[in-house]
Amino acid sequence: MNSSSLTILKLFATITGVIIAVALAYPLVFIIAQSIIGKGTIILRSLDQLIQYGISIESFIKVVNNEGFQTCLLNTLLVAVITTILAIFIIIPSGYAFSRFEFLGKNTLLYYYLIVSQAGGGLGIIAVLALYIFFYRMAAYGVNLMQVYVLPFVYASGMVPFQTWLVKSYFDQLPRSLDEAAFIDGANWFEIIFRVIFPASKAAFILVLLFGFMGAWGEFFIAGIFGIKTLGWFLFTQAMGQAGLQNPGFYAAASIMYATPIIILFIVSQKYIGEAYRLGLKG
Amino acid sequence: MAGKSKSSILFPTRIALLLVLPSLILYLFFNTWPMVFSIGVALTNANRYNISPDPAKIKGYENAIACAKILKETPEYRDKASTLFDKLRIYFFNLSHALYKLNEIINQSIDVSKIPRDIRDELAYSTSQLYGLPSEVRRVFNCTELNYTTKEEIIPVVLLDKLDSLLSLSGTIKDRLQYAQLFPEEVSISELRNLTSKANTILSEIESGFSKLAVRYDEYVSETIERFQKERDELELRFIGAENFAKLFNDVRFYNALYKTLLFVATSVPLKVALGVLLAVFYSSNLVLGRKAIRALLLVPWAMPFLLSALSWRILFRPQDGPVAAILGLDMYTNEWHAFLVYNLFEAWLAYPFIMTVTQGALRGIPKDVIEASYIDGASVFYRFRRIILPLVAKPLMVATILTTGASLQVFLIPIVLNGAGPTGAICIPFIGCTSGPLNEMLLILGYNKVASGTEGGEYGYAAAIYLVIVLIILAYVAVWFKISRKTGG
Repeated sequence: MNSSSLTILKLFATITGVIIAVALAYPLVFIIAQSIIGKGTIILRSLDQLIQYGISIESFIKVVNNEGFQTCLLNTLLVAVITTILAIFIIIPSGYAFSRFEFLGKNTLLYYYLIVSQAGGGLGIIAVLALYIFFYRMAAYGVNLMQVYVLPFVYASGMVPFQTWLVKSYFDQLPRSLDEAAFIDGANWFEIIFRVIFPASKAAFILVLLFGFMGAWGEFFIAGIFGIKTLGWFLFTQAMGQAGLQNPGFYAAASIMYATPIIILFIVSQKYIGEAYRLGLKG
Repeated sequence: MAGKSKSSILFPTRIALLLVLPSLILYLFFNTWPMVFSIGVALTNANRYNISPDPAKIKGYENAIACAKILKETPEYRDKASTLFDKLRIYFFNLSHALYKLNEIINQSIDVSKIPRDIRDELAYSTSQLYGLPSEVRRVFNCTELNYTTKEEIIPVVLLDKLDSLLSLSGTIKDRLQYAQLFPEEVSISELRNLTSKANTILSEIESGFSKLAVRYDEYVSETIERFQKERDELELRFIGAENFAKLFNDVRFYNALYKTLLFVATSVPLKVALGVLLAVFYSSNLVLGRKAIRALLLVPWAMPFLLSALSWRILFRPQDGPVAAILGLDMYTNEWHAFLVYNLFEAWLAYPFIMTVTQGALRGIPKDVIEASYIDGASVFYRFRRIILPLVAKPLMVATILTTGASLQVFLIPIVLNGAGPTGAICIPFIGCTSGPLNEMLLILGYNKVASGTEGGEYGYAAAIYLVIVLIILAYVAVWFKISRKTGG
């Protein structure tokens, strides 16, 4: 193979490669274009229409001024913050215990957590539907659990299997001698937790915070069937219905605003996600 | 031994339990317990009416049943009822005679002011006989007065309503006849004709209704008791054993969902694995320049939150005016297989970054000289792929394929967001039968529809049975996954 034909081949391969990549990323390009087109009620047929109707942030302004969206945004923030706090205070200690301690049923539980976090979304959906029926039955006794303040507990519980594994494998990498040295110094458990473990688990905090916030912000199915007005509910019940197709510009803008924090956190947490997948594959 | 005792001193079990317990309680209460609870639900007739019923309503039905039994069995009440039926028969006959006479006159098209007095009187008389009748019927068959408080009526509500409207209708005729004597020009013959024909229709319906009731009184009351019993039972959560499972294995939609789900696994898994591997191999090649930037672009489906992707795909594939649907000529709202194809495309698009990343990781481990050597040998592209690349990526790819098979087996959101698993049409399964439903309903969607759908939702017991079967299917899949991963040592 001579060098000039190799160059042509390279050029050809690169152009093909770019075209394929752009085609695969087109749904993102499209939804952004749909959100900024000057006439939000039409479905964008070609990018020429961006020139024809002009570019405007009108759809975004409409979304920001929409009262329903505002309520949902506040609820989502509330739910995401509570979920994150719960996850930090409940899952990190548990992950630490799974890493350092020996107790009855530890391996069984870890195995169980692995299966439910790797078997796919089906078990999660079934658990949610079962929970929905259970909450309905509780209503017969006058206990209404389908509320904004219950949602973070449901979310945090769903995060337990995967994040326990994540935190456990993080602590597995930290040398045991760190906590053992403190014991030998005669520290009690309270001191060890606050002086040794907390400072050493900064990365675990960030990990749980990222995943907890991202999970709670992005979740829509549970909020959707429980009828709790978060952004996920807003888009799942409205943009996925007829309204989403009748007013595509508005909902494109709304879903971009909903998606932006998740995409940013996704990029930030990229290397941890890779880590998490490796953990899953190892199991 | 020494290490173990040291660790059990330094890391006492009670501290471990203290640390693990909150997460365990949270998890057990919101995830595991509802699942266990739903095993119980699957053995009951739970539905939207009985999941949290109103005790007063149940008591009402019980009272109505007890009352109907007394009406049927006590001679005193039977006599009252038969006296009432006799009375009704006579009164109805009188009214129909009066209406008949009136009709005859009207049909001769005489002046409204000249309707003979005796006809008017007869109508007025037979109407006046009816006055107390609706309340008398209600009183004779009134359970609340017999000290059985209930809102249910023993006598068919339709019949009672018709009796009321007959009374008001014949009252109107009587009034109009009187009015016609004073102001003949304001009452037309056609108005009277209209009124009498209406009255005749209702009267004949009521007559036949009550005479049937009188003739087969015992039978009717027994039927009513059965109906109350059935309605009451529907309000009560009952253990019904394996009935839901029996229903499931005779449900056409279950077999359709099983078929569609397995078909989806068979089509989408090869599609997404092939796409992911091809992209990984293509973009690992030295021939493509600027690979890093392009790879970032390729990870877009992974980075986009599901709802954003879903909205984009929904609009792109909307029949007629969606840009991609228009180019490909796809109509997922009316064509079953077009919709199925779009699900496959969407799933492949969502999942290829995973397969691609895994394959790329494995390809990175292939020594450059191995590939270069095959270039020098002049091995064909296909041969290189088949003999050199594939064996090296086989193991991680196998694990990734198993995981992504799980995703396809549990497909749920894609059909729901794209077109609600539609279109709706006739579903036929050999040896079982036919029904109407969403043609592309997957297993999880069937369970979801039975729980939360606006039209048919609320069949909780049946839904719980459906997803217990799905859990078994998922566990079977997990068992296969474990077996394979143990065999490959992954």
